[in-house]
Amino acid sequence: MIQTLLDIRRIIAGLLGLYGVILVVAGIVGSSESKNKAAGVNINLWAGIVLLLIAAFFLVWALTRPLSEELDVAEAEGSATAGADRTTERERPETAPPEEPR
Amino acid sequence: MPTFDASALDYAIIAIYFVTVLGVGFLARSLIKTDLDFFLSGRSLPAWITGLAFIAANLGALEILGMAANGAQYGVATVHFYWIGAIPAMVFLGLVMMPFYYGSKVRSVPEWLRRRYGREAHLFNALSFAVATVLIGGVNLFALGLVLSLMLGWSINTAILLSAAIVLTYITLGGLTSAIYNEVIQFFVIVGALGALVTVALIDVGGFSGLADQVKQSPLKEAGLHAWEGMGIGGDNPIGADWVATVFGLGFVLSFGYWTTNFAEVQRALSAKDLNAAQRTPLIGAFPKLFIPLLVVIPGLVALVTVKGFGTGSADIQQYNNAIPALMAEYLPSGMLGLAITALIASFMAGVAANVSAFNTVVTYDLYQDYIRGDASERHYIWFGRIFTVVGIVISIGTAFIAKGYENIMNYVQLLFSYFNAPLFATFVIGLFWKRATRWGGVAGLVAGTLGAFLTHLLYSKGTISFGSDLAADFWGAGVAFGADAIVTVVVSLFTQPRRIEDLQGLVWGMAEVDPDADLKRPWWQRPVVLAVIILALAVILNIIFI
Repeated sequence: MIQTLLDIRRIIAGLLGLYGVILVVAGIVGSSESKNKAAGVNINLWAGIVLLLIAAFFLVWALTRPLSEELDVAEAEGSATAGADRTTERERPETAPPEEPR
Repeated sequence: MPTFDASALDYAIIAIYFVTVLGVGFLARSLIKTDLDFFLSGRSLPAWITGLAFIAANLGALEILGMAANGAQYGVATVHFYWIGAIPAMVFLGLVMMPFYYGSKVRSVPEWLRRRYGREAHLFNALSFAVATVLIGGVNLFALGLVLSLMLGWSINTAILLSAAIVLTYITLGGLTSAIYNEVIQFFVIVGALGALVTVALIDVGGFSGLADQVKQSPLKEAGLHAWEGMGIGGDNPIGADWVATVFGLGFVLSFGYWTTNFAEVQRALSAKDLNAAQRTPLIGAFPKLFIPLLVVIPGLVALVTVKGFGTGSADIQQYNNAIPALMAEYLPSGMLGLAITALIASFMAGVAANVSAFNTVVTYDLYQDYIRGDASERHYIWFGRIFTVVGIVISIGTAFIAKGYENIMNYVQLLFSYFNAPLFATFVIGLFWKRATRWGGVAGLVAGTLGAFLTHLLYSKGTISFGSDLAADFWGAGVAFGADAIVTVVVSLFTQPRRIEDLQGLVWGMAEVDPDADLKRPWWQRPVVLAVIILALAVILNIIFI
């Protein structure tokens, strides 16, 4: 549960999506002064749309490759290259005092 | 700096951001079981996350505001900080150094020094890193307070304390995981907001060609549009440094020193899930880094040509450092303005958080565990790391008030780098490539290099020696530090006892504990060498375009 909540792709999608909606609304209902401030470009609207697209990308990615699946793939890759560079060792590599040079 | 009339909408956007980063801190807390989880995210993160965090940790607001200031002051030549400076160093870190950092399973940069050289070099470096880190953290904190107070009209002390409290909360709770996750979020907010600002600014000045025409009329003239014009020995160019100072001082010593030995950066790669991901961390970060000059140099140039008296007048809005805030006030309506202010706050917090998370790790592993108490439980080290997150932030608040006393913050930071990073890099490359380098050579070199940087700065500030500009002085100071360190390390090593060869396993060139063929089984986009070639080719092409 926590793992899913902490899927960074969902967090990015959520935050950028929320910002996108806010900016699009501000771009539609804003005063004509605010719509023209940025060299005549309605920047709130356009930036909002771009943010929504980025958010959609991350959401689709997170939904089509959920974390559990990502982890399975990582495991598979890990066994394919076992002994090569993947380490499953999670404990401290060394707690002994450093070897002194002689 | 202009005070914005931020509306309720802008404040809401800022508040949403604060809630998000704190939320990530609370969630990340539940993942922490071991001290390695707290300090290195359990070495579990995929490469795209560590890669974006790697670049975001560097994308502090000092970098953004400072490089935009350089863009206005030096023009297109600012790209040298990126395409000559950062990119080759990032590629070197990923391809050459990471097998030794990650492969030897050290948990910090000083730990590599301890195993390669011995306790003396280790202690010197761990202490100087801890000091440098809180000093730079303090600079970030002070600059954040300054920007918030100028832009939103808050008192500078309130702004410093509020932002310190937020960083403190999420790092103490979630350790490196929440620092890294928040850095990834920061990356998108910063790039999104700056991207919108640059687009609008470019449209206003008539696109690239319109901007180029106006820069030719500006104080920078034609030279402001070229990266390499006047770079010959004795030539005249806006930076005031010839190609030797630029390539050797900036490109080789300063940048390699910063990117390959600064633990605040390397820590992101050490948290990757395997060696391949660790190697790809700086390489993935290099792709956005190639194009960040677009986001900082263009606002600098636009401010130069649109703000009356920019760089010469005395009003806040005319200061080089305020190029980006000036454009924000000029162009952005309520809503987008809130997002851009959020981006600046986010980038300052990224700088502080990167420093604090590196500080607590080095203090816990390299000072406390190595020299004070080596046999405690994992819970004890997590607890200690949390305490020292608080201590680090409190000291940073103190040093923030020291930074207040410096007129040019960017110079103060460059100075710190030339003291701490440039000599360290010499000790590293020599230790990595020369098995004969000894325990005493290591520590003597570090001390000599730091003294070299100090003397150069002293003679320059007293006027005994002179350089083309403050920037050129930093380049040469770094060069002197590197040279002094290298010479002393080699000479002392030749007269002292070498380390036993079996103690160097996994730490020196030719003795890496990795399988050289492991990457060949991967698709091309996961192979570090292929990525490195693409990045370097892009850097060459970009240099040619802007020659």
